[in-house]
Amino acid sequence: MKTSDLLTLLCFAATGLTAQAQSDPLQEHLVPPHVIIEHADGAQLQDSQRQAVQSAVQRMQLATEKTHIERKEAIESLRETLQDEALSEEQALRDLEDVLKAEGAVKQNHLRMLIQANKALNPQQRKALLAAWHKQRAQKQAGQDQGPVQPEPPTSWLSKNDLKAQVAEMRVEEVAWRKIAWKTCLLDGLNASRNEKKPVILWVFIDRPVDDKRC
Amino acid sequence: MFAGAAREAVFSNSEVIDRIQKDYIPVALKAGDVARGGSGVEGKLYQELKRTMPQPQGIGTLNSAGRVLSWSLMFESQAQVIDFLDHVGERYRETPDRSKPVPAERFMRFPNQKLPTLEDPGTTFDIPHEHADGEKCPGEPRRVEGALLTKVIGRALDDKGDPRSDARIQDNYIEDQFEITPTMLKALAAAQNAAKNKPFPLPDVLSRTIVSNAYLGILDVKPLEPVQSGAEEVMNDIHLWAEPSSENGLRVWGHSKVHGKRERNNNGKGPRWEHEIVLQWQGHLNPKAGAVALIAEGQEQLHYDNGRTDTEEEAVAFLPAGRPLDFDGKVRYGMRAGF
Repeated sequence: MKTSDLLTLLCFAATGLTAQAQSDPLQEHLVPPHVIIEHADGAQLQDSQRQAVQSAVQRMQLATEKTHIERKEAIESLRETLQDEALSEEQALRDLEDVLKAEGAVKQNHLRMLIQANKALNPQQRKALLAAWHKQRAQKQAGQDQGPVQPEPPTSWLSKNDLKAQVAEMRVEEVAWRKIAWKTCLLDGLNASRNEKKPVILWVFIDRPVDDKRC
Repeated sequence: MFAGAAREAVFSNSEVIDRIQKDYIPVALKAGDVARGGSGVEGKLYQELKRTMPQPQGIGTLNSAGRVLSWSLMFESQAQVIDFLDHVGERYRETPDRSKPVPAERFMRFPNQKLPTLEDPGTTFDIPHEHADGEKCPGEPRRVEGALLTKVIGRALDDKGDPRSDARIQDNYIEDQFEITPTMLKALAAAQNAAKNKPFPLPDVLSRTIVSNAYLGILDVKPLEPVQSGAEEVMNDIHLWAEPSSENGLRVWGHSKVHGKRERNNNGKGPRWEHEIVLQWQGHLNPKAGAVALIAEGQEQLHYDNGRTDTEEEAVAFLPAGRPLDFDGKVRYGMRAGF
């Protein structure tokens, strides 16, 4: 299994609590908060109930903020281990353990949030919203069973060369942040510092401006 | 938001750029690499950075021996960014190398919010001129072998349909990249074989990857990355199809709509955002030649509220929170690989 496959699986696992098979007990018994809010008027939710549901979501987001960073770092570490020529089984398993630990914390926070949001409802509201949620899912499933619908083609097709040229035209060469020639190797930077007798200024963030990446 | 805000508010300022070009050696490291430490001299240097950093991300300065001079997460004002560079310059002149101990100064916000200074532990780094043969630099970008590195450019358009001119900010202009992995290419080949020269939907893993990278703004407002951005993904409706093209490869077309949002935390603090992108796509894919060219046009709405809309402080004074974003207009995206 390639790194990207594993990462994809892990990503889906982290978000899949409400998106698994029909036998999923969470889907059977708990209404997701977005469904509660969507049907809030129909289910005659009081303002205090809406607020309780929103607070449950916000608490979950706050709790998972740190976990998200830990999970990203753990996945990055696992990716690095799997790409290393040494391919250390022990290190990979340790990295995976860190990933799974972070995944577990995300899932626990998610379940806690679902329970708190559902506890904000009275039994009649919960029953009605569960029915609406199951109906919504069944309709979505039925739509998927009919197979994909081919979209309308464009009114005019661009040739391969036109596409290539149009993408190239979109790039702006003279951007302020491109003017700093960031080095990516710290050893290289320190050697330059010694030779040119200048201090090093460090950019330490999730992504770097030198990789042509969004940051 | 932190990195985007730093690039825009600190490192796009012409005076700061001039000073760095003239007086500093700029080095960009990934926070994840520094957090992991690693082995060898560079790993030890990373560990020292990690020991002294006030937060896992920030702007730091070192002397030539790899000792930390000062860290800062924010600055009281734009003028204080220059003062910080002056201040570090003075510290460097006093302790340019390993001849004297260098306590690591740390600021949450320069110069008024200072954290305790950390003493120099006395360890020295024997810095080689280059990496040993076969040693991989931890700063090298990591790539999935066999993947197509696809560059993305996104432009916000004005009322006339022309690209907005200020490319410094990511709500007007983005550059990004992503990988179309061998797994995605394999899924594409399987779908094409099964379709037997008829139109077919692109595999989900590929179409979702393509669409998820077409958005304006910072990393934190990626609608289709709920785990990273903390978004509650409320909707994605992606229909990208392909059919064999007379130009070798596949021609691609379709439409997509994605919507994500995030509410504030339970203290009523932190960012809240909402993001919707509706696009029409067309393009060309030639997996055998490793070529990709895609254009998407449509409408995008992005609202990012950092909870500090009423502040008069400059953006450099609250880098981790970023600045508010409010965009509702036409957009155009281009993606390219292998040309």
